[in-house]
Amino acid sequence: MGKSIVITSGKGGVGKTTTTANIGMALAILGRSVVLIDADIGLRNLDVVMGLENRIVYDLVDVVEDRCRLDQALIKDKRYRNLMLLPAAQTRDKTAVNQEQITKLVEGLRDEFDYVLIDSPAGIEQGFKNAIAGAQEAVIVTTPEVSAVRDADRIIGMLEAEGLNDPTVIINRIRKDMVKRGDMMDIDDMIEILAIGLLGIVPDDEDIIVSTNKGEPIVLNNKSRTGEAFRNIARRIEGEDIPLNNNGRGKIVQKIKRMIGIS
Amino acid sequence: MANKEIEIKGTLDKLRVHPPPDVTLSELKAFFSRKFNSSGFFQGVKCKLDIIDNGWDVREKDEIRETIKGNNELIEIRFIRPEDEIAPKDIPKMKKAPEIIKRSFRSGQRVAVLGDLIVIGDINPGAEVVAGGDIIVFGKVVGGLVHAGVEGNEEASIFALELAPTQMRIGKILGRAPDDRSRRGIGPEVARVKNGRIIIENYLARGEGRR
Repeated sequence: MGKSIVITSGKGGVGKTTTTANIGMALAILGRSVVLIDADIGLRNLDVVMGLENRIVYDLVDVVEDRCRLDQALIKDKRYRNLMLLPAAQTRDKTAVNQEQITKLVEGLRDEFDYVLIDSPAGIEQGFKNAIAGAQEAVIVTTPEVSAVRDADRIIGMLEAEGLNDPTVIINRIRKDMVKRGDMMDIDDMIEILAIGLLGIVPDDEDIIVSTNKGEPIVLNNKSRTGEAFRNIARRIEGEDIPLNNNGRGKIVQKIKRMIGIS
Repeated sequence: MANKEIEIKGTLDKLRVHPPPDVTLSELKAFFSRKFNSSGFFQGVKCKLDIIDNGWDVREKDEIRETIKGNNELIEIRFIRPEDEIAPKDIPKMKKAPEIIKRSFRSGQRVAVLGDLIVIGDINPGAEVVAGGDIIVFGKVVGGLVHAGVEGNEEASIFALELAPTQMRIGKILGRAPDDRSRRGIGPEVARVKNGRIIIENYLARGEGRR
């Protein structure tokens, strides 16, 4: 049985979809079979970020409503054959599916894939509840902003209420220069508030905008440091002990290691 | 559930349903909710529906009406007696006037019509435009899904002042936008099926455009 992981955040625009695409692609590069589910019904984006929009014939709602078989709706990635996408419907809304249907779908996919990654919509309403139904683990994406961290904290509480304990966090769009000047929340501050394991740190990078617009996740670029950050996250998900590269701020690294229990 | 032969036929300007004499009320209701639910082809379609009356009582007719209206309230329902039915050969070979819609379609918006469709406006990425016949867009198709001849008519064509949808379908044939290069700024084009594939041609260079 594979593992199901939901990628969520509460706040919109922090990079859930980009993170899902990149982690999924990185796991596929490592040779794992991966399926990405876009649970953002009515506002689908994952297909665009993956560069697979023009291949969509059936979607998640078609599967749930029995208009097609699951394998008809799964889109094979054009670069890695072991990576699939189940797109969301665009002309429907969150009420088109319910939690039982998603749970059943995810359970079925876990039989066939090593990883089932679910891209959650922003918010805490039904779309979020659908996305976390069927997930065994949760990864929270946040940015170094007070509002994003506040929302992440709210989400951690809601995940606990749904029985999803011990989520991990990815801190996205960190700018080391600003942190150094004291103009940006640093990782210590954020982890102190959230008090959960740190899965990875992703730098702010304008190449991400180019890569999402082109539909080519940045992990495909071997030279990119941001791609490296996502590849490291994938390896940590695989259970490898990859140190968090945080500009030699040893104290923090130690503290984080202690937190996620690897030292 | 075994599907007894219930047929929906499109005539000039309406749909007609012929329930077989042995169909039960619950089978008929299940059929209608399947056909007219918010996700099927008839989603948001406005049309008239004639149901050949098998001799149901008033209460049963109300139940049938509610089932359909509950799924699509735009459908006008009429029960007609079998003797009022026009034999298909009597229907004159006349094409229904195309539906004209003056608006643009944004992401997530959808329109579906039974016959030909003229859109005066643009089609944006994420929108869906579906028609039983031809689709003519006096505007730019810069993305989205354009599906002509949805019931399997491969004679249907798609015209637009700029034709660059994310995906195009005619009948059951599918064509998708190229992964790499953009098809913008080419000018009026028409798409139709030739030898089992969708071919896009420059409308002005076709000759018939100049005639």
